[in-house]
Amino acid sequence: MATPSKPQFRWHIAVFLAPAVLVYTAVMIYPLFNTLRLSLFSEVDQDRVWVGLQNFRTLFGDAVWSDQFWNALANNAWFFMIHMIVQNPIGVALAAILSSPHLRFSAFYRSAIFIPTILSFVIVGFAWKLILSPIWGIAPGMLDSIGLKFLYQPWLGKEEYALTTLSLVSVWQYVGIPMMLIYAALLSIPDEILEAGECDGITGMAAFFKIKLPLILPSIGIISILTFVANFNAFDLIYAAQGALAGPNFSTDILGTFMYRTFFGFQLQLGDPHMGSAIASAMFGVILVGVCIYLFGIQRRLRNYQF
Amino acid sequence: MSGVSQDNAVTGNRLTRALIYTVLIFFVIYYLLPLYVMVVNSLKPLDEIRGGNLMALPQNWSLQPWRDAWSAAQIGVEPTGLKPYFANSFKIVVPAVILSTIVGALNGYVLTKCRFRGANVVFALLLLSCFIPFQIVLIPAARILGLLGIAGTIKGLILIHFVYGIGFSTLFFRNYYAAFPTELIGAAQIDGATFFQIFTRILLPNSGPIIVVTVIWQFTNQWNDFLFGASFSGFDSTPMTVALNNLVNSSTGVKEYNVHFAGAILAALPTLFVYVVSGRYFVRGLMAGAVKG
Repeated sequence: MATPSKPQFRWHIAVFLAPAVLVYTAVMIYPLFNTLRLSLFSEVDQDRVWVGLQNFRTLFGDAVWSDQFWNALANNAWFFMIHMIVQNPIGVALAAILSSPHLRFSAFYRSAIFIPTILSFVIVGFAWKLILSPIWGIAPGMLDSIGLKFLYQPWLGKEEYALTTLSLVSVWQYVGIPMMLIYAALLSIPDEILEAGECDGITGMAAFFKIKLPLILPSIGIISILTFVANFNAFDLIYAAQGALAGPNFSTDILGTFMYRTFFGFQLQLGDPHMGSAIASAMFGVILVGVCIYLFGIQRRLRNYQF
Repeated sequence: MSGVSQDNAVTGNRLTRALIYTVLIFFVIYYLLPLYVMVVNSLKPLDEIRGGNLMALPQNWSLQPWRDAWSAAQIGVEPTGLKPYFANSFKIVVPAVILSTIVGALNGYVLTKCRFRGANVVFALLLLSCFIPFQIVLIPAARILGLLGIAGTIKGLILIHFVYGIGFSTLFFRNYYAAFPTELIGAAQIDGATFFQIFTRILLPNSGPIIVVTVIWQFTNQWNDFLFGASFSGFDSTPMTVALNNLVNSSTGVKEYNVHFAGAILAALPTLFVYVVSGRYFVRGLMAGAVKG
């Protein structure tokens, strides 16, 4: 953006920024760096000693920790994959449908699908837990009514299904976000571009894939990175639905729950702030790498399409 | 805007049309069904739920579960219902949303219209709070709150939510103001408008859509926050989500599912209300570029 013409001493900027920066640093920047720093220490005989990267070596290599860590990381990656292949395409498709002209009650459909997004994990986790429950749930009955009863499993209780089920619950909750963002992006495509396409005989599905889709690619990029960040920070849904132990048998354990357990301890295990910080730093690293790949690799290429 | 000339997958073709409505109705059912289950079962006496069918309409309609959830349910050690926690959440969220929106707007203004050295560094640091895992800062932040003497209080939670809200508010307002014509601001400067006059007279009156997006975003995030609430709240500052979790996941006593459902709906009402009131500006705000690279 252009600079205002007169370069003068703008004291008001300093005066205004100072308190905000101070508070922000105290509550946000300092804790962040303190956590990163803590990960380089350990407790030996009730003293805090510098151990360098030892905590990370333990985390990645020592079977007691690394099994859990790689398990959580792999689960987290799967959690993210499901969001990318289910949530985002469905979101884009819904947005494309909703943006079609002369659609009746489109605000109603939009709101119905968006509402779960604004609810708390606690509510969503609780409602779906009951719906899928083998005793109370309506899922067995509904499958029965269409003759698919044999498909029913106590999904949340089985190791091989629990994580996927929870991912799909999360997809159910958050499909509204890609839908809304893409919907807004589709509506802001200038009519002239579409009319020009029409003159060249590009309409209907072709118009979507050849004109609109390239134009909304930057929005899809943003959605992907938002999904990535949200998924690797996820914690609440698993915690609310399966508890801190992320059962059954840690099959729904993701980095967030793993770190929470390590930091604060649970049942018989004592909290370990140093290992907890090491996990936190690893999470921070994973997210930072993802964000950097997006900012420097993907976003630039997508921008080339922008008009 | 959504021009009539905009030609899409539907070109009057009946079949596609029918397909589109089928898909939409399927999704609406899929989305409203869980909400239906919650509402219906919150209006039943407990033995009807025990009887089995979660889908059935209540035979004896009863508001008792709602009354229980509001003012009598056992949460933690006290049979207070959700009422005090509901109030706590409001006391925390309302000031935090207002503060983080105002600061976000000012930040957006300063970062786009008064470029100064280091602006990008400041912005990058502000953005950190958009993508770091919040668990990472829990323990050091708890110590800071302790030092300030506001650990476990409503003030402490306001501070935390306010600060963590700044990142997204700044991002939204910065992107919005980046597209705002700088010439207008130059003109106002020539007319002698001061720094704050430009902000209050020119930028703010044109910020309607983005304020709506920010308020919806902040309100839902802060109202639904669980982690900070669970970690930083004390006995008399526990927010709604944590109380609800204590209610529905309590392992003692009879599981009163109807009361739990009523409580869950109570916890959802404020965010629903915010969305219903301002939802129609939401899309407009998003179109105006709340979320752009």
